[in-house]
Amino acid sequence: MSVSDRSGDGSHPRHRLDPVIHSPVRLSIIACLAAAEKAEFGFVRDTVEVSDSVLSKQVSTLEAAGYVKVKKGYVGKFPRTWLSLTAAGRRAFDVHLHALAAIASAPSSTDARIEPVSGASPVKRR
Amino acid sequence: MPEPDAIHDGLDAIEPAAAAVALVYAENAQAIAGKAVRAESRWTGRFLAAFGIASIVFLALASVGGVVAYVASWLAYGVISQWFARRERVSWRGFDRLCGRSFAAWFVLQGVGCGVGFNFFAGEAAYWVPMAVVVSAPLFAGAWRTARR
Repeated sequence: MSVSDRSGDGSHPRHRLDPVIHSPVRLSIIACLAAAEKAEFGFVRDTVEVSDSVLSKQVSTLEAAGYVKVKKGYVGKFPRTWLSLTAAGRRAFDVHLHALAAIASAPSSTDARIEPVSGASPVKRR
Repeated sequence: MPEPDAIHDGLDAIEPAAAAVALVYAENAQAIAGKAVRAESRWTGRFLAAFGIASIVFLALASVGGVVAYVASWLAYGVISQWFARRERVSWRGFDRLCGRSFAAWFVLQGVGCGVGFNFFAGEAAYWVPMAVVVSAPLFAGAWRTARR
């Protein structure tokens, strides 16, 4: 089931959260690429502090979602892989952060009201 | 690493406290990335400044060397600068646009300056040196903006 199928069209900000971006490593990769025009694979690996294989796997997921563009080339004899955020990736990142901010600022569902004992106004338990 | 569906199941029930933690994590990730990108993007200012200096030198020499020497100088410098730029690991977001604007302005000024110079002021340093400084100004302005980031 795709993300769009599951997210529905509800108004609650949780519907705008993106499971592809919410993973900590992928979020770090997107945050890194959001600050750059383009970045070399090794730079992203060093900044996010992950191994080559982990970065490669997560970049494949982001590329499949259309959030990251991968370009391979050579500098002299040495192969280089360049990563950049697509417009869709940049938009998805912004929407995800706004949704997180909206949820974080909402009152918690676990907040419970304590019934007043003797005519006092209700108070929220924190 | 949880699969996206499992994460999404968790996201459906995400609490404000968990969202706040995720938000702080994202802000930290952005701050770390921004600092790293700024640190490794310093070459962009040097790149534009070097192009500006080359522009002044080549235009000043063009007054005596002529069109062929001028074009040959730029071809050689273009190859070297592209090789240098491709070696770098990252460029900051917005650099391509700044670079495009700087080089577009430089290209137009250079076309006008050289057109007038080669036709009317060949060999006259009093024209070519000030013109070279004016033509290179957009590149130095770009370098200055990069350094101020």
